[in-house]
Amino acid sequence: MKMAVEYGRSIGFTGDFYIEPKPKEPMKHQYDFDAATAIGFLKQYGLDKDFKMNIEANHATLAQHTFQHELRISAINGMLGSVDANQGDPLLGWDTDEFPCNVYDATLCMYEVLKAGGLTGGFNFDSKNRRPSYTYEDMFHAFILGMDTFALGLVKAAELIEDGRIDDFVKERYASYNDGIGKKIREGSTSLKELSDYACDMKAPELPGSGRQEYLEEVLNNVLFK
Amino acid sequence: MSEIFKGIPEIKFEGKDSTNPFAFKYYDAKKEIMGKTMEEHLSFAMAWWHNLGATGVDMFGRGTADKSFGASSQGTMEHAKAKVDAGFEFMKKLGIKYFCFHDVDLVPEADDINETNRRLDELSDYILEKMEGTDIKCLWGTANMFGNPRYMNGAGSTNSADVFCFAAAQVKKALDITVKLGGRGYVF
Repeated sequence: MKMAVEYGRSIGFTGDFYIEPKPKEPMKHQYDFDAATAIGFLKQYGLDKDFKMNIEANHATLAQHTFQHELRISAINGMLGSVDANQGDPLLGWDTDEFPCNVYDATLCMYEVLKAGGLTGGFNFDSKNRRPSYTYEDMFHAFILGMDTFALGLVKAAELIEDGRIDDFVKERYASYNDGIGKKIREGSTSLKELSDYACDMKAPELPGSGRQEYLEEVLNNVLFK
Repeated sequence: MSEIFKGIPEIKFEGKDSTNPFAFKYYDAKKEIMGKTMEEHLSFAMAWWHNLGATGVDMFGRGTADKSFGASSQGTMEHAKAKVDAGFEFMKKLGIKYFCFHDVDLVPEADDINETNRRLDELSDYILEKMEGTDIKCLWGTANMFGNPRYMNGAGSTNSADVFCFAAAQVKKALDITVKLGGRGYVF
């Protein structure tokens, strides 16, 4: 991979190199299991400035992750590059590469992409028609489905951001880190001893704020189906 | 060159109330969302392997789809060029601006890598010709280092230094072709 970067740059390639994490197929164990593993590998070998992630939805679910999780892990490491737009079948344990029709997942994908400021690559339909869909017309139906699914995902993700309720919740959830001891933790300007003294002075903390899982899921449905 | 996808029109946006099976209901390329058009947000790409190559073959049965695109025999340069013709007609009809490829999706692999590389040069010249006058570009390229039996023990992780060199040669050539076609990225 180092030689590929060296050669690519020498012939004028200025784009990104991508790794496409995949946990299995053809092997039982693979070095690029998921985004976190691949990012660690790239950092270990000094390749993280030239490489980003190409996240495939079906590979995410094969690794027992959601598509959104893999996108977020890539984005927070500054390595969200490109997307292989497809979906797997939760009842089958292999890489079925189906055309994406799940608007819920596409919305959460586009939410991550918008929050990350976009991709350096694009949305590649690494997707194939099902075996019984064998005509030329089916090839077009498949792309119309995939493109409409991601268009809906984009529209709904933008509405989710404009709605603001989810972002407001996240802000409030972590508000204790905005000042006082929380701010010192964020800035790295405290010590284990100071934190221990702080805890001992308090004697016992209050429970942290509610996770509001069901409220947030209702907000998502509300935006999706309004 | 004659039309391959006969009877299938250019796919246009008609809106959510349309029941036209050959229209977009939600993808409106020029519609602006958060300061950019849908087309700018969603750089859609066609995967050469699935769309122009996959026939539906799996471990339980033979292919069901005919992807010869009018070529008289498959696994030939005539077929490779027919796939280019089909791919460009397909992308134009859908308004797709990018494609992705593995090296061996483009041309049939020869026994001698030098001949495979020559075929890649010839076919990428043909793709460049087709790209002229369109706004279709390469999103990314890659090398298929799993299909050929020589990669049964891996490519970068193979036990054979000779096979490792063949993998390196494929990466080098796939990078050359990606750069030649103006690719935005290169995938491992």
